[in-house]
Amino acid sequence: MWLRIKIAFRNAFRNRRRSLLNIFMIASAVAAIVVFEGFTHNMISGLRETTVQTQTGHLQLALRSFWEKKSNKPKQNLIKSYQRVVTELLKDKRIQYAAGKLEFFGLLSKGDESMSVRIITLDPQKEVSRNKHFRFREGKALHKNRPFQVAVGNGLARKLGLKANSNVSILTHTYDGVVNAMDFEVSGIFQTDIAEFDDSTLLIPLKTAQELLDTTAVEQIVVGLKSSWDTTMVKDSVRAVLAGIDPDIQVKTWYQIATLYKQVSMFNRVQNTMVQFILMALVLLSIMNTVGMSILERTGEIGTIRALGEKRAAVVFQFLMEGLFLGLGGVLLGILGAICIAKGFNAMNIPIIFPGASAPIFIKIEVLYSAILKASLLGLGITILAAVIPAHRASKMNIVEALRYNI
Amino acid sequence: MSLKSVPNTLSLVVEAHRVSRTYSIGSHCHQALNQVSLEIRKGDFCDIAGPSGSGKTTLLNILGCLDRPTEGDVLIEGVSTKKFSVNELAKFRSENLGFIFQTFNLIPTLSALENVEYPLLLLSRTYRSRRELAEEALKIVGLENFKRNRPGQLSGGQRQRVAIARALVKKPLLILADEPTANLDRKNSIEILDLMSRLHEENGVTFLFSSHDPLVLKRATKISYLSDGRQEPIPSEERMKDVA
Ligand SMILES: Nc1ncnc2c1ncn2[C@@H]1O[C@H](COP(=O)(O)OP(=O)(O)O)[C@@H](O)[C@H]1O
Ligand SMILES: [Mg+2]
Repeated sequence: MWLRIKIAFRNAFRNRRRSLLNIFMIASAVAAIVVFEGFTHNMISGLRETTVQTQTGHLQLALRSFWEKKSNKPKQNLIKSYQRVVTELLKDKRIQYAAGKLEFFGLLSKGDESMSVRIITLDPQKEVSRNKHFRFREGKALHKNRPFQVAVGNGLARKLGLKANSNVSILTHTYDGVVNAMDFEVSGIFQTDIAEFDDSTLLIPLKTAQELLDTTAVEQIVVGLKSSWDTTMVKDSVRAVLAGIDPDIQVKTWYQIATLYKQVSMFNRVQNTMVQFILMALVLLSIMNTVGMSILERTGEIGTIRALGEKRAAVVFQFLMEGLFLGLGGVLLGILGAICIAKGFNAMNIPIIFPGASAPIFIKIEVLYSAILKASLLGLGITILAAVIPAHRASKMNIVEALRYNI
Repeated sequence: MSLKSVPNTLSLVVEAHRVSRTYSIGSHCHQALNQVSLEIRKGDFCDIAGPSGSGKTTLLNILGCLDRPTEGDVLIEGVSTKKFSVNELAKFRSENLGFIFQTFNLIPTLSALENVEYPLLLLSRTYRSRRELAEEALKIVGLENFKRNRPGQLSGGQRQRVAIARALVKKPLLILADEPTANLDRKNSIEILDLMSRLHEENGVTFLFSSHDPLVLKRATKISYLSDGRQEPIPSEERMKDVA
């Protein structure tokens, strides 16, 4: 067995330049896969954190009619028993916070200028961690002791020329259709990196919003967990709690709601899969060509070993081993290369703006074990597959014909 | 046609029984062998002779189980090979036959010693016994000092000696040699043939040659003469050829 491995190894590196070229080819593909996966993983998980922490929480509870968006009477979508639900939910130790949420549209004015804005509530007392995740470019976050302050998204602030401590007013109508307005002070300007959000959103303390809309109820209850891993399990127990209070309230996880996250991660997955497919197809063709060529060159030798009594399967095995050596070399070099590329990029701090992002972030590549495993298996699998077809052909050669190639 | 060997049915190694071999080239057929019969017995030093293109290699390949006849049968120790599968023939070759080629056919990536070891690898011998037997075989052909050399670092005569050691190492029933001297000069040819004659006489190794070299003809204990695929009596001038 050892001699066979030795033979395959020597044969794999018989034509040094060709073998190195192949190894380099496999290595490039493997490195590209690992780097791209690491890069998009970082981007996606950043987007996930931002989405969950600033917008959706881990779970959202609302009435069926709210989710189905059927009713054009928003008042019917309000959860009246929300205080009780929150109290019950907070008994679960896995839940970090549970807070009511309202989302509505209003007219934000500064002096003569007005703009229609999306207004989202935040409970500064309960949603401490959510509050913390808004990065403030200037000014401060909302505070439970300053009810008449609002926080404004970066893009929105720019459009209206708002600064921290600017005075603004909000005009909207209550759930009963009565027009209502209030004056506020801008507490600060935040940035979530999601452009669509930062360009149109304003945060307001929940209690104040309820006053403005003349209600004591909420549309949704946002639940934040201590660990994202618990999402599905907590969802089930929350459902059980709700069944005892108001069976009309339904739970959704952040993943069901986060449309942007879903689109971006889906897009990335499709893109990565396509890139990987193309890379692997290239590797397949190139290795197939190399193994095919080396088999052609060694036709006489194949004839000789078959004459000596080598079985067909052994001939296939030998060429598969050779492919395996190329694959192993390529995969190892590729992983090494990926680590170097990742280190290099991470050290260089290259800024880049993603579509849908409001500010540049620095390229950061995390070398994931899962990506290494995937790329290695793909790389090895493809090289072996690429060797199978020509190796099989080699084993089927007519011995006498093959022997005539010895000159 | 036997000169020295005593006929003995018990010691029959392989036998070609009225074999024919036709090659189809495009639409027309070429008959390379026509109803040829030949028996190889233990202890033979047999040569298939005849001019170039007469079918010597074709017959040798058929007797060596590398090729199958289109008609007729090849018997191994009296058993027909017709029903043998490709793998069964391979197994038979690996266990019982040694091959020596005109072009030496050593594996270029292996050292002399590893080349000689190779046939034992097919017999699943242990590393130790492979090494021992291979070193012994290299010693017999006088190349014990060249065991680390790759074929590229050896002369033609030395390469053919390694090939002989490779054929010899498993102590085969029969060694088949296709024009073993065709790529060697006269001095090396004589040395190689002397070595094979010695193995024949001292160790009782059975040889089957396909060669028109007078040096081989002179040593043969049995000659089968082919002309255009047919067996013919050996023309007297062939035997008279000056080999001195
Ligand atoms: N694979 C083949 N296809 C077609 N014709 C062949 C093939 N092999 C040998 N022949 C023909 O068969 C005849 C005998 O060939 P061969 O046995 O090699 O002769 P020798 O070894 O005596 O020189 C020749 O005419 C040769 O051209
Ligand atoms: Mg010939």
